[in-house]
This record gives sequence, structure tokens and C-alpha cells, in this order.
Amino acid sequence: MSFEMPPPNTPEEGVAAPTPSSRAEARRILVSGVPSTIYDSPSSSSGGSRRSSVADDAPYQLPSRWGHTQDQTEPGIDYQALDYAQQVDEALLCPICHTPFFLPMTTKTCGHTFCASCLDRALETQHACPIDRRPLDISRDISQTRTRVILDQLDRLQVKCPNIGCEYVCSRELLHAHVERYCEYTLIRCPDPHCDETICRKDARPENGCLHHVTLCPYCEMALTFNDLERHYDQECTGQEAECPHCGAVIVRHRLAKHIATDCREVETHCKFRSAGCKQSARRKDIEEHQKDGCVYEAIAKLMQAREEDHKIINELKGRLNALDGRTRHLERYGGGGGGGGGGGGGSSSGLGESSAHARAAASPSSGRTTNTLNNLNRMQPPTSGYADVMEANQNITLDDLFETFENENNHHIDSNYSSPRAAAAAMASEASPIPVTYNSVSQPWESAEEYMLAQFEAMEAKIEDLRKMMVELDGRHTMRLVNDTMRMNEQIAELGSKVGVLGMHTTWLMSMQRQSRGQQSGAGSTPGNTRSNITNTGGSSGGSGSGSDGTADNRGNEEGRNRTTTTTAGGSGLSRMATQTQQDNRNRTDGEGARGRYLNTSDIPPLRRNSVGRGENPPRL
Amino acid sequence: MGDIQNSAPTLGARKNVDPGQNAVKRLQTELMQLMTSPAPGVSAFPSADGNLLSWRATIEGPDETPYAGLTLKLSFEFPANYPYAPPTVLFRTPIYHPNVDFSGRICLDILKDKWTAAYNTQTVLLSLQSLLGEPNNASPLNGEAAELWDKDPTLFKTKVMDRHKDIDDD
Repeated sequence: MSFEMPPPNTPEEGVAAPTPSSRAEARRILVSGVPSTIYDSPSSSSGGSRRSSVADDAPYQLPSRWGHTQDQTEPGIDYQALDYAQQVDEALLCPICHTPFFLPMTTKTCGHTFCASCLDRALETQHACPIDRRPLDISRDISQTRTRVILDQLDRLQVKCPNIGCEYVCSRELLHAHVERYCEYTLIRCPDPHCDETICRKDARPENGCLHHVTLCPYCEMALTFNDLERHYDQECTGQEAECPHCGAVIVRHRLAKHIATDCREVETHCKFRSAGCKQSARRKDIEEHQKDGCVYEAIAKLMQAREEDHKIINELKGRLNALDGRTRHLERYGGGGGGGGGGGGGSSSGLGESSAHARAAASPSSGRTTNTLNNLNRMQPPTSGYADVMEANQNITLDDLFETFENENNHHIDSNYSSPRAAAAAMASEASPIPVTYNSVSQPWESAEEYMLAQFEAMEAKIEDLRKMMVELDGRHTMRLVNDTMRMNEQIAELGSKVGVLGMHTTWLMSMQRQSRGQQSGAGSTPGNTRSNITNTGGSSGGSGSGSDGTADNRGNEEGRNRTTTTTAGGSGLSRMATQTQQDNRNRTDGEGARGRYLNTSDIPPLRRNSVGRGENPPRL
Repeated sequence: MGDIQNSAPTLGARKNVDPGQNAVKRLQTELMQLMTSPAPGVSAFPSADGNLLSWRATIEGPDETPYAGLTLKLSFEFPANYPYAPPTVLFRTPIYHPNVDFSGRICLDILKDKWTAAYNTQTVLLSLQSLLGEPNNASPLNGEAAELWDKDPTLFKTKVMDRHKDIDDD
């Protein structure tokens, strides 16, 4: 527990560029003396006493947030070399290593925060705060950062696993456990007891034996160990490189197929809603854009999925009906036995109860239509509360209820077809519902068991027939709805297509205007290339990508160029706004007229004239 | 620049990384920062040979100084223990300045003993840019220039223009 902060230029730390292993060694020495509960122990909040108790021996300590003990540092994650999955707020970056703080330390005098190791090394050369050069006493003026907000933010940063080949992303506090215990790519000792090499965990199986035998790369014939082959393909293999026919990237032949299938940004590919009818096929980068902007077929794809699920339910119902049919026939044939009949009756009624629940599920979309949310298709929740009450109040659902609710829901659809069988069945059902009770009781309304059973069978058959008809009806209606929706969407697509055409014409017009104006102003221009690139950008944004901001990003630097590009960027932003507008049109067609009016207004004003008035204005930033 | 980051070997879990790996990593993040949020009037980029420890930079002479309108090129050589030690910065463009000698060496405290690890390429360039307008005449490398700066700004300007020579990139 007693160790000194290594003074500057000790052999261990003072090397000009210490190797990572010696750094790790140093850290291990530093860390091993730290109680692992320092963060959570109640006494740590009181701070002063603990610090003073340790201060004599240990000037400052690395927090053992990751529970680094001697063993656990073995995988040796270099937290400062991690790739983060998202942009990290600049406030969380260490001013020295410019990566998110790892084991942050804060100076007490000036409140600046650094990674422990960065500050440690910076203080080797200068006993002052690296930010403001205020003198720092290592033993007194530095403490570990305990602000939970900061530590929690750091813990929650999403990092990529540093192991080569592993694409796992997790929050940073979990990374150690992942690398230590789970990551398939962590290097561990070779299972062969005679081999001292390390090997990926996934390859370290006893049945593989030692993979450290020398083999030849099939492409470049370089001799290397079998274990290194994958890495060799990825990083160094020069033999048999192939050029991607689409994007021109040079890749090892071994990887080319995978590259084309999943990575190549230039390869022609289809929209992922192709099965739903999207005919769009373009380069992957454009397709990604297209999907991101919301493929119109997405809704259809969802519909189709819902339809498939409904189909499943219908098929299940059909199966159930067939089973019921079989049972009814069986009962017809062998019916008469009182107990058997009663059991059969009870069984089928409960079966009906179940199937009615399914029918309800199948029926719900039609009532959900008014709300028009496709997601409702997947929900079993009945959309009207009255309906739900009926279903829940009567656990023993009678056919009457069933039909009534169906009729309520689908009034205009079913009534004519179903009125007669429904009446018959309802009449039967009103008798049939108390069956399990009445049959065994003394007051039998039927003359004999056979007669009763026959009546039951008839009722059952009627019910089954009705159910079947309903299902056919449902199926039909579903198809109709799909067709209706598709037609509407097709119309919208056509409309969109024409709008894009108009936009294209406007772009061409804008470009020709631009070209003319450039011709006039060419004497003053110093960077025509800048302007030209902006035109291209605008062209891109008119295609619906809505990225007019690209144009402005290029604009920095040349004042002259900036003034002249105002036109283009203004046009660009207008166009991209229009593109957004057209997308909104999709959903709200009634607003379409207004949108088109606005759109015409925007493009009617010749942007050049606007520019000549507002020359010298800053270009609009999007 | 995306390429540069992607090609950064994620050797976190591997032990035998090069010495200077930390410096390279840090320089990569600096490069990213310079590309994404450039400061006006200064720019820097690794030299063409692919060695990330050697950079080329340019400073535009600030307005209302004798260097207005001139573009000055510099070279940065980063030590392997950067940022704990300062980079070696030289003017490659011949420049007439009180704190720069005729071989381009710069006398600036933050590049010597006042260096701290929190400095970076961009801050160094901005410091040099302000040094152009406010030389430290108390410790000149070019005594004549230090004298002329106060005595005869016109002659100083002439000397600056005489000495200045645009150089090609190599």
C-alpha cells in the first residue's frame, strides 16, 4: 500500500516514449494498491479523512472504477485508443489526449480535468496545470473526479470493442467485462500447454489444437501462422488483390464477394422494400438515402406483413374448424352416450370460445380502419371498449354475442348475407349456451339425448358455416383494402414523380441562369470551381435528398465565391424545403394545393434578382 | 479524412504497439478537428509521405501587419512523446521577423519551456499567427528586424517583401 508517485525521470516512467507494456506495468503498480471500493464506499464522500489517511503514502491514486486488479489488466484495454460509436461532447474530452476521459482527475486549484495517465505524464515534465500553468503540488492539488454526472456520462459512452474482428458496441463501463469474459476475439493463451503464443478465444478450442503452425497464404504465398491468416487477409495480403468492379476499391480477392454484397457503396442494389413492389434500384449509397427518406412502399410492406400474419390466423382458424367438423361428425356417428355428448358439447363450446377470440383478432383491423393505423393490425386489443366489455364479461361466449359484436363492427358488410343463418344460429345458441348446466339437470327440454345432440350438431354446423363465411369475407375485404391502399399510393407516387420532374426543370433553369450570371461576372471571379461545386450540390438536393446544407459547408474561405454562391444556396435551400414539403404531401394530400402554391411562389422569384439586392449577405445556413 | 480514422489500427487489446502510437492517435484526432472545424487563416496537414509525425502547415499573414497577403509555409515535426513534448516548428518560407532566424527557426516560449500538453497544432499555429503581428522584440533572433520594427515600419515592410519568396510544396 505504500508507494510513491514515481518522480519525474525515473527509469520506469521517464523514458522518452515508454512502451505500452511499461505503461501498463506502471499502471498496474499504481492501481494494485487502491482499494477497489473507493468509489462506492460511504467514507469516500467525506473525502478529507480518507485522503489524509492515504495522502502520506499515496499522493494520488487512480480510481479503480473498472476494478483493475493485477489480473484484470491482463487484456490491457487501451482506453485512449478506443473508437467511440458516436460523437462525444467536447466537454468530455481530455485536453491532452483529446479522447474521452479515462479515470479522470481534477485539479483542486483550477478545476481542470484530465485523464489520470495524461496528467501523470504531463506532470513529469512540469509541475503545473497543463491548461493554465498554475503550479500543482502532486500530493495536494489533485483528486480524482467524483462528480457522478461526469462519471456516468463517461460510463455511458458507446464504444466499439478494440479487438480486431469484433464489431461489438457497448457502453464503456461494460467494455471490460466484454473483452475480459465474452469477446470471441480476445487473445488468450493457446490451449496447447507447450505453446506460449496467444490466440483468439473463438479459435482456442481443444479440438483445434495449436493453431500456431506455419502455413502459406494461398494468395501471396507468405509464410505465417495459421492463426494470423485472417488478419493477414484483412491487413497486409498483397497477392491476388482484386479491384472492386463497382467502386474501384482494391480488396483481397478473398473478401471481394462480401464487399460487393454488403459494403460497396457503388454497386447497384434494390430497395429493401422490393418485395412490396418498390422498383427502385440504384447504387447502395443512393438506396440508403432513399430508404432513409422513407420509401413509399414501406407502408405496403407493413400491410403485407400484417396480411401475412392475418393469413396465419385464418389458416389456424380453418384448421380448428376442420378439427371441430371432424369432432362433430364423430359425435354424429357415435353420439347418444350422454356423458360423451356432454363432454363433446363442452369441448366444442370452449373451442368456439377460443376461435371466436381469434376471429376477434382478425376482425379488429377493419374497425381500426377509421384510425387508419396499420400497427393496430398486430394488436389483439379490441378497438371499441363496448366490444371488449362483451368479450370479457362473458367468459362463456355465446354465439349470439359473437354475432352481435360482429354485426356491430361490420354492419354494412355482413348483414344481408348473414341475417338468416345468424337468426337460426342465434335461436339455437340462446338455447345452447346453458348446455353444460341444463343437460345434466333434471329439467330437460329435449325428449331424448339423440334429439338434443342432433339439434346441437345442427347448431354447430350452422356456426361453423357462418364462421367460415365470415373468414372468407374477411379475407376478401383484406385484399380489397390492400388493393385500395396500393392504388392510392400508386397515385401518390405518380404525383411525386411529376413533381420531381418539375423540380428537375427548375433546377435546369436555375443552372442555366447561374451559368449566364457567371459568364457576366467572370472577370471578378477567382474561384469558379467553388461555384460549380455548389451547383452540383443543388442538383443533388433537388433529387429529394434534401441536403442543401452541403453547399454551404463548402462556402467558407473565399469571400468572393461566397457572395456569388448565395444564389445557388438560396435556391438549394428552397428546393430542399420543397422536397420536404412534397414528402409531407404524401401524408396530407388535402394540403397539397397549398404546398404547390408555395412551391411555385418560391421558384417564381428569380433567385438572381434576390441576390443582386442582398449581395454581401451571408448565405443562409441550414 | 474518414479513411484516416478508419485505417487507424484498433490495436487497443494488442500489446506490441509502436512507440509513438499515442502520439499518432492524438494527431489523428487533431487532424479530424482541423478538418471539421478549421480556424480561419491557418491550415495543417500531414506531409505527403504518409508519416503522421511530420506535418506541413500554412499561415496567412494577418491583415494590418507587414505580412498581410502573404502565405507562409511551415513544417511540424512531432516527437514520439507528443503531446508531452513540443513539436519542432520551422518556417519553410523565408521570413523576415524579429523572432525567426534565417534558417526558419522560431523563438517562441510555448514551443520551448512554456509548452504544455494541452497545446495542439491549431493553437500553435494561431499563436504563431499572432506572433507575426506582435513580435517579442525583447528576445530577438533577428536583431536588425527587432530594431526596424519600431524605428522604420516602411523599411521593415520592404525587407519583409524582399525576403519573402513563395516556395513550392515538395
